[in-house]
Amino acid sequence: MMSNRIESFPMLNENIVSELNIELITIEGEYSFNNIINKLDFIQEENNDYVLDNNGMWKSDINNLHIFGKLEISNYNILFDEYNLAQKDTILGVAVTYIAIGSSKTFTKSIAELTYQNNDDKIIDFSLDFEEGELAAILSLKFSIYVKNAQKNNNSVLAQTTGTMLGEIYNCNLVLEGQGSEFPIVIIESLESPLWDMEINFESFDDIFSKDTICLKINKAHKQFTKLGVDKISSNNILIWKEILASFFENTFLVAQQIEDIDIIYNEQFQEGTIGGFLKFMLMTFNISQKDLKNPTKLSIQIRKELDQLL
Amino acid sequence: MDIKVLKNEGFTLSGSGVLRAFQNEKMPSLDLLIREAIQNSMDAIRTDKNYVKEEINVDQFNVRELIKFFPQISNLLLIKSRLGYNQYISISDRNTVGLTGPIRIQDIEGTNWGRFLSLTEGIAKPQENLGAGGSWGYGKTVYYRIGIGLVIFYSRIKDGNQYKNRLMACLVENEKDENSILNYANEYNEKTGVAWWGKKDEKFENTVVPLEDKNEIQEILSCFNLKIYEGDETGTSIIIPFIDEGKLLNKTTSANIDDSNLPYWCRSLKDYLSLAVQKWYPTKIMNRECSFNYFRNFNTQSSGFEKIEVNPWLELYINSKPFTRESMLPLFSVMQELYNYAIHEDYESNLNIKTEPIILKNVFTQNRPAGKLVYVSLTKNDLKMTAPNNEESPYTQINNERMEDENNSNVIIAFCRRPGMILRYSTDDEWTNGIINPKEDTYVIALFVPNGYNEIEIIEDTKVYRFDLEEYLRASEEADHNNWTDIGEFNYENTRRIDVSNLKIVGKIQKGIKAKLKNELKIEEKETTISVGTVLSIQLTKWFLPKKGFGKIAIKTKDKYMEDTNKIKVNRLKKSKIELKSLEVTKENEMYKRISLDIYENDTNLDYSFKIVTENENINANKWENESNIKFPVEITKIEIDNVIYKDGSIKEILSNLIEKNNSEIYFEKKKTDIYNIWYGFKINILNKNINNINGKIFYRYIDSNIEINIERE
Repeated sequence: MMSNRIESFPMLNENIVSELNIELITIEGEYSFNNIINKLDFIQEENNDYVLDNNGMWKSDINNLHIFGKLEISNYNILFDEYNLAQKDTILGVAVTYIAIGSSKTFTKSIAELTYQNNDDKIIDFSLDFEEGELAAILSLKFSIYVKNAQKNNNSVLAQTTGTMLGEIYNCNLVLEGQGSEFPIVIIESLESPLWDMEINFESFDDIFSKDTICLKINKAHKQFTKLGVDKISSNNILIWKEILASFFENTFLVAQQIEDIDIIYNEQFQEGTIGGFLKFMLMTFNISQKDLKNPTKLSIQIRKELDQLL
Repeated sequence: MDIKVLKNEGFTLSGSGVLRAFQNEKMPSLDLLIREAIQNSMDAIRTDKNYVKEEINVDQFNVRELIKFFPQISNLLLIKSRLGYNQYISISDRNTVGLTGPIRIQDIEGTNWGRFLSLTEGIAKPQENLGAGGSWGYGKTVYYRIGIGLVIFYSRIKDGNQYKNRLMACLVENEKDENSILNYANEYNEKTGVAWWGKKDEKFENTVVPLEDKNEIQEILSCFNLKIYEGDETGTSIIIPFIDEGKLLNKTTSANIDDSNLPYWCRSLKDYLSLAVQKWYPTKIMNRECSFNYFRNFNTQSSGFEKIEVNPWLELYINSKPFTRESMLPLFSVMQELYNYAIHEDYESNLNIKTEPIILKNVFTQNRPAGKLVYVSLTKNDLKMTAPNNEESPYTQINNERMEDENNSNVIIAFCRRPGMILRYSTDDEWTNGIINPKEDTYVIALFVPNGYNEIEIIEDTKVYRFDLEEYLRASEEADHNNWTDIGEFNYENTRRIDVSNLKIVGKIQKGIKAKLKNELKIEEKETTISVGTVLSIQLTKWFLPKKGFGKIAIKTKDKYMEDTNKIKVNRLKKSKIELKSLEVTKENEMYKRISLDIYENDTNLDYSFKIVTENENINANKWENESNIKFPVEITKIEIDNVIYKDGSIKEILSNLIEKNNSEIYFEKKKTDIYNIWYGFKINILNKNINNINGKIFYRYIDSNIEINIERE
């Protein structure tokens, strides 16, 4: 984007940055779960890096993240010499600024020093740590050069104030929000509520499928909670879970019929991630015919029959 | 005693009219009696006292002796007593000024009837004392509904240095009732049902004045085992003879309540009256802590604070036995704690009381809360409802009835004005609806105490009317002082009715209270996303959802991550624009920026200025110099045009300085500041419509490099 700024000292420009030949050599991630370190990869597509989790369980707004990488900077002597960005006795610094887009968190960290010398290629290691819940959809990283230690020279128009930002050299966006499906279940604590409950808030089949629009709620404050078993479904608790899930899906279909003409689920395509898409998938999963869907008794039987086979 | 019967003179009030005027189906007469009598006592407190001594007696009395003083109706009174009307209630106060003022209507100066005549002769005359709690208008008519309509008023007052005793009786009955006592129809045309007893007035014919003879009065009081006030005592006794305890108690509950299911106070008149004092005056009863003087910063220019009234407490005796705080029912004991907590900044309570200011926006002239909401959440155990105390529930204490299914929100809100009487206990009305106490077996008990001195200002017809919240709330009370309801008009000092329909203060207070309590009682539904790593979540996702597309979890392998988005292309009207390249420095240390101007033929008058960047607005050079008298910090030193590119792609190299030179194609004009003649901008007129692009350099020097500068198009 064009800047209207009339600078009082020279700053980095496209030409200089191009000559610095900046390259993000590697970027990797890790997260810990149950004291086990799990690895995350980033894959570049277009201008973004997308997170991949081999376990298929990492979620940006829930899990922690440790990222580390290498940034290569070449020919950086031109900053002191050819392009007159800094005096030769000035120490420049490289900083990374991260912005957690979606959570508005931002922070800048110094990661390297650049001084005028003969060897003018440098590989900079950097690492950043984020606690659980600190991140959101996108993590934007911006690498910049700044005046780390200025030398005063009255005859020079170059930047002479320590801390002055000379410009950005590289940026990348790490897309942390994946597209892996997640069953909408939450644990609540409510003295007033039953053991399980559900919330349906969609108004159209085009609404986004999320915990905000449809959700199964399990109440931790209920006295039977411990008997339910929320670690996993096994032979010990399968009967009660089958019944909860059967009721959950049954209610979902019944409510959906009150909200929109349910026939369009059979006749139309719905985008991935929409309520319509979810309903369509569920109707196929449970093998529910258009006729049975409108008959509560048959619907109830069909769901339970399929659940017996699924679980 | 001598009698004066009210003559029927066409528009005269009648007993039936008076009794009908203030019928209140919502509240038992005994409650109304206590509310009225004690408030009148409180209003009459002597300036040298800070508490009122109130003695309530209920007993049988010497009927035969008493009827001698009412020779005109003695037979009928005797019959009444034999029909069950054989008890009396007396409510006597001390430390009050008594029934002062004139004793004859003819002696009234102006509109001030005084306490004596207001209570005795002026049966339906409204209260005029500003800020008073009771209503000596319709409120006092309750005295006549307790028994057969006969009421004896005895008072001792201090008149100058003299103490004076006064006793007068008054009968107000339904003259249309076939069993009415007064029977003077022939003499006075139609009956009125109203008569007074005293002694014949020596000044005016056919009228009576109060008995003043101490001995004579004592004789009458002796019928009730009561004594005249002695020493420096002043006060008023209201004696209601010929009452039927059973009938009065029956009216304290619904007709269909089984006797065995009644709380103890509904079985004894003495106990009921004790309960009624506790219920309506928990703020006062044996509450020395509430006693203080109200002050108002009346005139800060002169005397500073002015004492305007005292907040008295109430020393209560029931049948001569002192009432103790320990014997208060739990709910009312809690109310007393809440009240003390509300009125004293540093009151220490054993209860976990919370307080919230109720703030109304743009209502009062000063930015003070409308009042305080104080509340506490208590268990059944706290309220002594469990063994061994087994006290009645708060609802029973308020309503006298045990509710089989207490299908309530367990939220009770009471409120009172400055006189301290609880106006109402709200449990299921506009004060409480929508508030849900989610905790079973707990009661939320709240009290709202308004800050009565808040000033309200209304401007009407260019005149300013000021009154305080206390006055507004008093005006918003119905005659029974049982609730506040917003009013449309306010009777300003009895001189003008002003429109206050927009204020809606009561509604706003109710809304504020409900919001505070709702927020406080809200159970935070703690919601935690089930840990994504658990097997359960993975199981459910695997069984019931496609691998991707229905969530935000990082996926295992890369499919096509980015869906194509249909970018909407917007055609905007194209404008000429300037593009600045990065700063370059010449060997001579001259700074310049390369500029590139894209020209569109519909936008050829271009005007650019350097401006100082600030957070709010960018400041132009002339404004800067005019306001700061400091040179604009950057100066353009030179502008060079390197080349011009035409629409057909041809290029014309121009290496000269075009500024202010007449040219057939481009015309540049310098802009300089008025004061220091600093070159801060330029105008470009494009005369050749075929020009597509201009490239050049703008040289400048900083006078003060600490200031950030932008170039902006005007």
